[in-house]
Amino acid sequence: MIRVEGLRKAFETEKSRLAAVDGVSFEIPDGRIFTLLGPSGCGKTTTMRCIAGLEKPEAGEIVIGDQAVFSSTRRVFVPPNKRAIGMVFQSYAIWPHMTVFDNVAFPLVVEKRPRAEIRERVADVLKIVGLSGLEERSAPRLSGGQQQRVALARALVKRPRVLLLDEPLSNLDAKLREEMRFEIRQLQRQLRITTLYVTHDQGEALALSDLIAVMRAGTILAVGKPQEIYNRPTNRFVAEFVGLANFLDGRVVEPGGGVLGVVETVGHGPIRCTIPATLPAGATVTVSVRPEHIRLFREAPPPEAKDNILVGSVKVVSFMGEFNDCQLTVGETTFRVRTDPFLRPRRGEQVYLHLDAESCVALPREDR
Amino acid sequence: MNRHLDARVLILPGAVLLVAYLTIVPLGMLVYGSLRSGAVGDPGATYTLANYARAYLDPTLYRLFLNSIVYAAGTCLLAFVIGAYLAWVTERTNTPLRGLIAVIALVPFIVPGILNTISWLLLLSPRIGLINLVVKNALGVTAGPFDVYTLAGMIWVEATHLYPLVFLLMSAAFRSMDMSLEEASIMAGSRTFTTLRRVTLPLMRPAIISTMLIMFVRAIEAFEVPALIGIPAGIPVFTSRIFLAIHQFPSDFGLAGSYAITLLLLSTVGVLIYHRLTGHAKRFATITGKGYRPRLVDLGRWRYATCGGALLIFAVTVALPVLVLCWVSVTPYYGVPSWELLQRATLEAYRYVLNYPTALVAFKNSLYLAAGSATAVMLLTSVVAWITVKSKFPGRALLDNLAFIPIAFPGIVLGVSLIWVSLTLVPVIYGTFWLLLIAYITRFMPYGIRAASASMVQIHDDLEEAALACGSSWRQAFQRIILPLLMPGFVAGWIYVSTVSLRELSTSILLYSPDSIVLAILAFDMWEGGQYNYVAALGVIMVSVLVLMATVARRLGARIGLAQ
Repeated sequence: MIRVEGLRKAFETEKSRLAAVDGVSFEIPDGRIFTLLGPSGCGKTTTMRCIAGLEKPEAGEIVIGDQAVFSSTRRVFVPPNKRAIGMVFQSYAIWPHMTVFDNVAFPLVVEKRPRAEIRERVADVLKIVGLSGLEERSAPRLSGGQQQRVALARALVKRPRVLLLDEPLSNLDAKLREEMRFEIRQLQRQLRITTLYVTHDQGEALALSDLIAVMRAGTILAVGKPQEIYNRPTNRFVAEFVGLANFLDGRVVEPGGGVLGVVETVGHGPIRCTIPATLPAGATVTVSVRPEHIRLFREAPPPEAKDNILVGSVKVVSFMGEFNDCQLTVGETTFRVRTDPFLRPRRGEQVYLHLDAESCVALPREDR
Repeated sequence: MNRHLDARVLILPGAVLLVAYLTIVPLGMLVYGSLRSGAVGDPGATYTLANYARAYLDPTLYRLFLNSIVYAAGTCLLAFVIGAYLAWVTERTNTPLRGLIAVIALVPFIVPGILNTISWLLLLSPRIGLINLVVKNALGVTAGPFDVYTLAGMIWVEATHLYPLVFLLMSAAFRSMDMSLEEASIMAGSRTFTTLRRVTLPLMRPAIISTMLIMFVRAIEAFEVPALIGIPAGIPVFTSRIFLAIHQFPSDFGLAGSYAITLLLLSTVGVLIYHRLTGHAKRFATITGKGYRPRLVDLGRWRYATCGGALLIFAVTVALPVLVLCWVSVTPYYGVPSWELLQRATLEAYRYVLNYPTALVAFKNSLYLAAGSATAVMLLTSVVAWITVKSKFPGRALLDNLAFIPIAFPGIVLGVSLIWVSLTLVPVIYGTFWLLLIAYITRFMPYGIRAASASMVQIHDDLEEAALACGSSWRQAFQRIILPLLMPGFVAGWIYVSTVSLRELSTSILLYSPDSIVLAILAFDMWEGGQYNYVAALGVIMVSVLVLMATVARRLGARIGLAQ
């Protein structure tokens, strides 16, 4: 288990102090994979480095297992080498003057383990990551994917209590990235190791995580399971950053109390959508709807889908293989819609949009 | 409970204290001495500004200043152009014979300054210079084409002596560069030359600037050329003026001290500029953990031209001085090379030098001093470079400046200062090997710092942090990750410090006793005595030993380094 409470860390620049992490709290249950997701500069990597002990926070508390590794009130700071962690760096940080074996064996060598044990454990972990037979290869002669596996093996060889992964896939090509995504997930399941994962890639976060925390400007905006984060975003930034979304501004006319209600939108009439209990009648809101939650009809839709119908015209259609990505003009708004590849709307054609009410979410309006 | 933490607690402050002691004590003694009306320890002396008044009210001060700056800047530029060209050719291009070029490029560096200066005097002196004599005989003119007794002559001689340092430092920098950055430029459509100018050179800016700074201060504190050429030519620079102040009778230590303070200010300005230009060193981290493979630039047919250029440089700056030494060492009397004189060649001079007991003592002392000071300097400065480059300790910039202070000490002034220090603080070591060792460590620490921090800057922080995250202590990370990655710079610095130790003259000449005599002093004594043939024979022996040493060290460096 990892527990982080009220973490704060600022960086001094020549002219100002920049709060990189500004009061972050979360908890990672044992054996789960937890992702910090956010754009660059949101403080996710700094948060991870604080947990690793590579940065010393100003305030807060970090507990790994039952050990408080940092506490500003109790003046505890455990140096990184005394924390039971394994870490994979974004650059992999494979030491170029060592072989694969030396790189992976390093954590055990500095613990002064017996040689036979080191050889055995390195062989085991290399087998797990699929690098058996490459022990004597010198590190600079590895491919990107192999370097990534070496970094992973090196992080795991000590059997740490937690694994920290700092954008481990961002230096790989797309195909390999997807492959490694599954592998990391499987490895984590197999070893049941508590994992903190940092990424800016929402696809990675959704595919890998048990829990996702979306960060912006040093704070956590939302924490939840991937499905919750994706289907029930709680604010506009989360909806926009995780996946694609269309937004319609409006005002609540019929509160939902957590289920369906009605929002009178600006320019598009009433829309039935899920309205959180926190939003009363009259609240100004933004309705978020994902492109794949809109169905397109070339003729007037059947009567059972009478609500939430908009009329628009086709602006652009991109063929993406498994779907068509369309941009539609509805009044003054441009909608992104995904359709199945058999439905091939023509440019300029008039179409009907049906917004699935369950999947539309009203969010509190943010002043921009 | 925490043994490893203790290592860090001991090593870091230990290094800081050592640096502080080695630099502040001689500096303080120098300032103190420059403010005294008499010799240090003289009970009748009082505090006074008279020394400064005499130094700065001298009407020829501006000429002294101008000479020194022109001499140092000229040497720095000429040496940089030659050294950087050779480094680029050998490390980064497919020029033929580059292995050989890399070895020969070290030779002039190995030829001690005193011998190099003597060689060029024997070649270019208007009166006895062999080149001038040959031209005069051939053309039947009355004056030879060259006069080494000019500012240009001094710059030429000093630069031919110093360019190998540029070569070493720039080679290490070229070797540790991430090639994908250059490849990206070539992919962006730029030509080889554009890439060199727009990508390679800007990326190497920390290495270039630190190298140039070393060259400048090395030239401004140079002693042999100003003493042997500048003084007879009537071209005074700071070091020769200080030398004259000490060598007149009675010695004017106060005047020497106040000139030395001026030199210190000059180099401080250099350090400040350096810090300003390389303040954001992190941007330039070019060793990453992603693995790099040095890539050679294909020069096409131009590779023969680059090879020819390198060989021409060697013919003039290596072959000529070495040949003139060899020639003089085997001839029974001084003369223009001719068949008749060659037939009377003799090894008598070698026999004399090798049977001369003082020479054997000097050989032993010089070798121990070289190995001892190089190892001590590089270990100390690796730790200091880590503090100044990697750590966030307050006052690290001060430490960098502190370790750089000795560069402002012309060797001869450090000698004076250390005489005062040893006589007042630790009288037992006066005249011993140990005082020389302390002097060498102090004097060469700045070169170690530059080599170590130029390499340290290029090691990405992740590589060290990964070791900490793997459970290693700071000491283990330093020993197993930082030091090995630093090795190319460490070895380059070690070779440099050991060879400058072996040819060191200006400090030793004030601190030695018959028991602690070193080779350069022996050569100096023999030259002063007019024993051209003996000094040439000693020089040839020294150069041979040094070439051998440097070759071994370079082989070693190539094996433990990262060059592939």
